[in-house]
Amino acid sequence: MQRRLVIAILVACAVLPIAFQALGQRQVYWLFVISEFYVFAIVAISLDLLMGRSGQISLGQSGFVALGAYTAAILNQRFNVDLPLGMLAGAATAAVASLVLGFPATRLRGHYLGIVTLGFGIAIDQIALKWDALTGGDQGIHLHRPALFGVDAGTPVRMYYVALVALVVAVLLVRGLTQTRIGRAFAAIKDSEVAAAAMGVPVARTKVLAFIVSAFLAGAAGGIYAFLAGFVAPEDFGIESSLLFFAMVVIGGMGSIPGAIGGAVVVDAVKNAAATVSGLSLALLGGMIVLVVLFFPGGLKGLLRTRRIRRERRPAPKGVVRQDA
Amino acid sequence: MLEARGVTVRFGGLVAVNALDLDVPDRGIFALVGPNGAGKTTLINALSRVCPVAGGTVRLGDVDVLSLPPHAAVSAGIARSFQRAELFPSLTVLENLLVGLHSTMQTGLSGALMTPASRTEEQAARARAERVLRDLDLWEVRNAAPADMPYGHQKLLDVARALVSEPALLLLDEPFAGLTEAEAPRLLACIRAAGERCAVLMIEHHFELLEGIAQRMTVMDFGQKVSEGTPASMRTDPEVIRCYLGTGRHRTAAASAC
Repeated sequence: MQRRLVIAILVACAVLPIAFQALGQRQVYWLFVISEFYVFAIVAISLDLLMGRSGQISLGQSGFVALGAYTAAILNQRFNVDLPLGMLAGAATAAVASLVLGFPATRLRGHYLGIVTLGFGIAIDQIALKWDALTGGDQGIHLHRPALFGVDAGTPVRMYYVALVALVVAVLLVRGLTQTRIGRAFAAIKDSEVAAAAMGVPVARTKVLAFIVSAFLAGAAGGIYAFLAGFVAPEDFGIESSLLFFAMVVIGGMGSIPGAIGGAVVVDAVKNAAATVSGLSLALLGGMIVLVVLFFPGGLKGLLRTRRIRRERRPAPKGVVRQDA
Repeated sequence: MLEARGVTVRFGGLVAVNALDLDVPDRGIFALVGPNGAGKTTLINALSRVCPVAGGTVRLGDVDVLSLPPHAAVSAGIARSFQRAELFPSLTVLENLLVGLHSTMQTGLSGALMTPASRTEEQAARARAERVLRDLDLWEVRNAAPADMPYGHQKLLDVARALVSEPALLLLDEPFAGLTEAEAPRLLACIRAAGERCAVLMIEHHFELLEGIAQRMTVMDFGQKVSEGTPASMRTDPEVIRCYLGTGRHRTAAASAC
C-alpha cells in the first residue's frame, strides 16, 4: 500500500511538467515554485536527520544552505563550473563549515545548542552581506545558465527534473543511512547518551558526524537552489529561512522522512499563499508551531500514526473478520 | 579475567566506592549484593566506564579498562544492562539489539549507499540479533517500540542488548527486578548459558535465586567490601547478616525475599 502510494506520487511528479503545459506562460512560475519546494524538502530532510534523528537542535540550517549556494554561485560565476560540480563543492564547503558547530555540539545541548546554531546562521548571513568582493554583498551573484555534464539544463522543465531527482536521491540516501549502523547510532545518542556509549557508540564523534551529514545535504540543496534561481543574495538565507526549515521539521513530525516532506509541503504552501503580506507567513507558521507543540507534539507524522492506531483498535463490524486478526 | 584493585569513586565529598578489590574469573556467575546505597551500581558504572573513577586500577585480561574512553569498554569485552532499562524508545526492539552490535560492525556512511559489503554485514548482524531475540522469546515483538511492551519485556530487552555483543564480561544490574514469574525462568536460563561462555557479574536482591546460580558473591556496604565467598557461606557470615540479611524480627526487606 505504502509502496504503491510512493510510486503514484513519483509518477505524478514526473508527469507534472506535461500537465503544466496547459497553463501556458504561467507554467514557468509554477514549475519554479515546485522545484523550489523540492530543494527546500531536501533541506527539511537534512534538518530532520540532525534534529529528529540525532536530537540536536539547529536554528541555523539556512547558514549551510547559504554556504552551498554561494560556493556554487562563486565557482559558476568565476570558473564557469557546472551544476553537479558546483553542487558537490557547495555540499563539501557546508560539511567542512559544520565542524564549527559540530564540536560545540559535543558539549552543548537543547536551548544552548539552539542559540549557537542561531548565531551561526546569522553570522553566515552577515558575512554574505558584508563581504562584497566575494559575495557581491546585497547585490548578490548572478549565475551562468546551468549545465549538466555539458548539456544545457537552463529550462524550467529541466531544472524541475534536476530538483526532483535530487530530492529522490536525498530521500534514498537518508533512508539507507537511518536503516543502518550510523543511523541507529544517531537515534541512540538522541534517546540516551549513557546507554549509547555503553553500547559502543562514540557519542561526541557521532554528534559531529550528524552535523557533517546534515550540512552536506543542506549545502547540496543550496548548490541546486543557486542554479535553479540563477541568482543568490543574502535575503534568501536569513534567520527567516532557518525558522521556515525549523517549522517544516516540527510541523511534519521529527524523525521521519515523509514527515519532513509533509512539513515542507505545509510550510511552503503557507509561505507562498501569504507571500503578498510581509511577515504574514512567519506569523502563521509561528502560530502553527505553537499549536503543534501544544496539541500535536508528533506533528503530521504523529497525527497519521494516531489515526492508524485508532483504526486498528476499532472493533470490526459484526460478521467482518479483519485480515490482520 | 577482571581484576579490580583499589577502585574508588567519589561524588564530591561522598565516597560511593572505597578502595574496593574485586576478582572475577573468565567464566561463571558472580553476584554483588548489599543494602541500597552500598555502591553496587556505582561499581558497575565504574567497571563499564559510565562514571569516572577517582582511583585504582581495573584490568580485563591485558586491557587497562580505566584508560579506555566510555564507548570502548564494549570493544574490550564489557557489556552491561541497566537498573532501569535504558532502552532507545525511537528504535524498534530489533534495532535496539543492533545498536548493541555497533562496536562489532564496520559500516559507516557507506550504509546510505547500501553497498554489498554493508548489506552483508547488516544481514549478519540481524541474524545474530534475531537469534538472541528468539532465545529470550522476544521474537514476536521484534518490530514493536520498547515503550509499547510491558516492563518485564523491557528488562529482558535490556539484558538481550548486552548479551548480543557476546562479551567477555557481562554486567547485569538487577536483571530480575520487575519480571513476572513467567518471564524470570527465560532470563534465568539465558544468564546460566551466558555464565558458561563468559563472566557474569550481577547485582541482585533475590538471595535464594543467587544461591541457585551464583558461584561466588561479594557483599558491599557503604562502598566497601564486607565479605566475599560462596552464597552458602555468606548466609551464615555474621557481617553479612548484620549489614544485609538481618535476623529474626529485624530482617531487612531484602532478606525477606529469601
